[in-house]
Amino acid sequence: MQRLNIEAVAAGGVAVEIDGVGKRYQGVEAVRAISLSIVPGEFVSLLGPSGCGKTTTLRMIAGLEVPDSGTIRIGGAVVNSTPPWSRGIGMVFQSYALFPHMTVFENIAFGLKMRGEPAQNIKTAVDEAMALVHLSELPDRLPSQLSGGQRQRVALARALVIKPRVLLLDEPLGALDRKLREQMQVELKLIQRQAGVTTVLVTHDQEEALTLSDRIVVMSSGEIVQIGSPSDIYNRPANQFVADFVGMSNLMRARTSSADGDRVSVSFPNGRSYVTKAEGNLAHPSDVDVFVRPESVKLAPNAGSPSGKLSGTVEHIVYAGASTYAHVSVGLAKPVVASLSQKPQDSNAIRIGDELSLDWDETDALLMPALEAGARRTS
Amino acid sequence: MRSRARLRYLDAFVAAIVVFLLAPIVVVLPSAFSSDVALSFPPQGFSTRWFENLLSRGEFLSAARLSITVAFLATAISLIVGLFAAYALFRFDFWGRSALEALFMTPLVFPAIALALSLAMVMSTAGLLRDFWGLLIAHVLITMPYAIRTIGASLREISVAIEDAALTLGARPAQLFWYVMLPLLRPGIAAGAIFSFIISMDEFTVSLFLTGPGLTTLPIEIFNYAEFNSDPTIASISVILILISCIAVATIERLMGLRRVLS
Amino acid sequence: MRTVRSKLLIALLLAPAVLISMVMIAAIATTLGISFLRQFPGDLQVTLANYIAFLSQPFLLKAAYQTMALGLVVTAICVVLGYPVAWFLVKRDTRFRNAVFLIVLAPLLVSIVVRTVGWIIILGNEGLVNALLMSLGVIDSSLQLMRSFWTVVVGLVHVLLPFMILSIASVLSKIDDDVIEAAMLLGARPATAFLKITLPMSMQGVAAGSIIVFALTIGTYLTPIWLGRGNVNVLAVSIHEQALISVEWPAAATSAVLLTIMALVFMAIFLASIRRMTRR
Repeated sequence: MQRLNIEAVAAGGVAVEIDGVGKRYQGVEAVRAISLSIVPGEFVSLLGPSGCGKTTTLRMIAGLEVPDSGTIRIGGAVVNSTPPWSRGIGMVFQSYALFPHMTVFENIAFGLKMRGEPAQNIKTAVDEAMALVHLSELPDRLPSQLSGGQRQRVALARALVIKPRVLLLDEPLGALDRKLREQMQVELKLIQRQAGVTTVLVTHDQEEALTLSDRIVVMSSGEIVQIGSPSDIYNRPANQFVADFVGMSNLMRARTSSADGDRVSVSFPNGRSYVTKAEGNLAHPSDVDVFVRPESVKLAPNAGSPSGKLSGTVEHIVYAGASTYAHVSVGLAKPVVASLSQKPQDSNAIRIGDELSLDWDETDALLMPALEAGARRTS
Repeated sequence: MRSRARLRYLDAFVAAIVVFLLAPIVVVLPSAFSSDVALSFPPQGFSTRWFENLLSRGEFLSAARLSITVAFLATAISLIVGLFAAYALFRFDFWGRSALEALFMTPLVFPAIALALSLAMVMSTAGLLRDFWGLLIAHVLITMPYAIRTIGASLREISVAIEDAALTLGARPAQLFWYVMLPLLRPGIAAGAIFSFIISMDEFTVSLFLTGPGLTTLPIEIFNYAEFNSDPTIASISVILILISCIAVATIERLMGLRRVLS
Repeated sequence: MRTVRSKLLIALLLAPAVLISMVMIAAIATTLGISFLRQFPGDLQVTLANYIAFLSQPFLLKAAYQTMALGLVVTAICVVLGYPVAWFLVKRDTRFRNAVFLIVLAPLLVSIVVRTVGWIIILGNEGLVNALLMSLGVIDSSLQLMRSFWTVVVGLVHVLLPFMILSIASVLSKIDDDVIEAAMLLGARPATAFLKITLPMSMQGVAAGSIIVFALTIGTYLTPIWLGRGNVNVLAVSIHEQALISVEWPAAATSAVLLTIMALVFMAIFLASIRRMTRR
């Protein structure tokens, strides 16, 4: 990849602070008094299923919606009543929202023209921005003559050329096919890091959020469920919703005994039990869900008497390209999913009907307080 | 195959309807050039005397002038008012939205004679009966639904995200309107303009009640002439009106498709 | 932006159009008011006399009856003629489709005066039809094709058919072909699929078209006067006479109110029957 002339778009980022911000539409609370601090230059993703309030939050930062309560600060100043045209933000829309009657050049130049920049400055800045997104050859094309990936680049260049203090991305890669999306993710991250612009990405694609973000904000029903680094979110999900939404996970209902020091015994309904470290904020005894990622589940042939934390029979094997998953029936409500080693000889070693014992490291598992039936989201 | 035969019947039926729809418009053309003194078919001989008669009669010319003036002004007002109303109706959701839309469309479906009489009565109480301004207001009322519809059709095809994009890029509402919305709405506005102009030019029933001696639109002048004469002059003026309509249809079709404007 | 000041913005955007519509509302209210006055301008005493007078004049009752008959006949013919054309425009895949659409719509932009002149040329005593029949030796002397109820029907169908076709076509085009194909896969023959699926689903378009055609038919003055020539006395003709010739405004207003009520009743009946059909 060519060296980026990042001067064209670098303005340095500013902090974005969201404090107790709420928004309701016709009596329905889309966003419920959320608070979030974004440091200058940070890349934050708002992740959640559709209708979780992530897009509304982004639009409130943009000034396209006005919060009913709370304050939004950009660069320290309260912007609640600042109209979108004077917020100095760049936004990329899911549909790209290119102006269909303007060429690539005119689209990218629009923001500078609105700011009354002299034509020569506009020309220089737009040329640089077009080079940045590899569109220098197409200044006179109309949006209708561009491919999806090219439109996406125009939208990005258009948002960056105004040297925004904050870059807002609303599912910017959602309309691209997988291969192009992964390529654009890399470029986007590179440009963002070099420009140092504070960036907020809205996405329902957990992989995209994990790949791009410094921090991820998981949202559900208008509330923030968890804020953390990608590895935090993946490895230490705050609750069953996050565990379920981000990546594949096993959630096994169990009951703890009274804690013995910092040790506690976990018993499954099938009679198996094991002793593990007691989670700090959990009262014992109580109903819990044991959370383990498929890749943390270790499988071993069941030699004679059952060993490990659980044991069972391989029900079926799902081949998913990069990884292979074994669904092992262990006498609980749902089979436990375990990913198999990538090496073909290992994968082949396990067959449907095999009796296996399952184990995992104490540090790879979490105990989550059990939710009332029905309270758990199945999205 | 039976279904193919059935489609033949359908095609033949549609062809018959096409003939039915075109016939009264087409037969006017040869009749206008007849040298016969009565409106007849087939026309006898060839003559342009009825066009000459038309041009020699001052009342047709002054009626045409009034019609064009009213149509022009009514169109301009309808477009501006219609643009505002269409934007409110098709960009916002608010209490009473559909009721208002129905209200604006009412002149399209209200029995013309009742609307004509009602307008005559209210204009008379306001002292605007057989007055230019009364006539103009009535024509704005009648053309406005067409302006709202055509501009609305155009507006619905512009994504709201495009407006949002312009705003976040620093466009103030006036700039958004001038640099983004107006260029994108241009075909709709042009089609609406042509539609309004033609509807106003052709308007008959309401004008019949609101015009009078010294204030006569072209359709009314033709009507009055035909009450006392049965020569092909009315055919020759019809030819001119048909030509104007043809140009209008062709232009709207090229701008945005007649079908999209109407459905 | 869309919520701040948006109420004020919406009000400002709508104000001019509302103002213009207020003229219409004032006009309708004025007419309603005048229909209850003994004399206007002049005697402003409120009375039901005009309505009683209307109901006691056989001439006006006959006009009301003819208006209703004309409206129903024209509407029915427009449905029968318009439905196949609308189906053709939406479902038939031919290169003539666009041309047919243009020809169907174009008359909407041709003055009713011009179109009525055309019918005089076709149906007049020295017109196209008579000339054709005479040259074929079918008849010896001109037939009296004008001045009849049916001449007026022909003229009105010509004016209003495009409205019916448009409103049926717009509903037909929203019916997904998949639904019909699904019905056929489930064993429905094409005719059954049409009767059970397409026709009921398109009734809304038929209803909307019928309401428009009926209202416009009973409100048309020019066609009955020019093609009927005194033999087809509908309310539109009476209203014109009462208002502009004998200048009895309260009487004219009464006729106009009753005409409008006729349109509203027709609309209510149609909407109710459609609602019952779609609720099924």
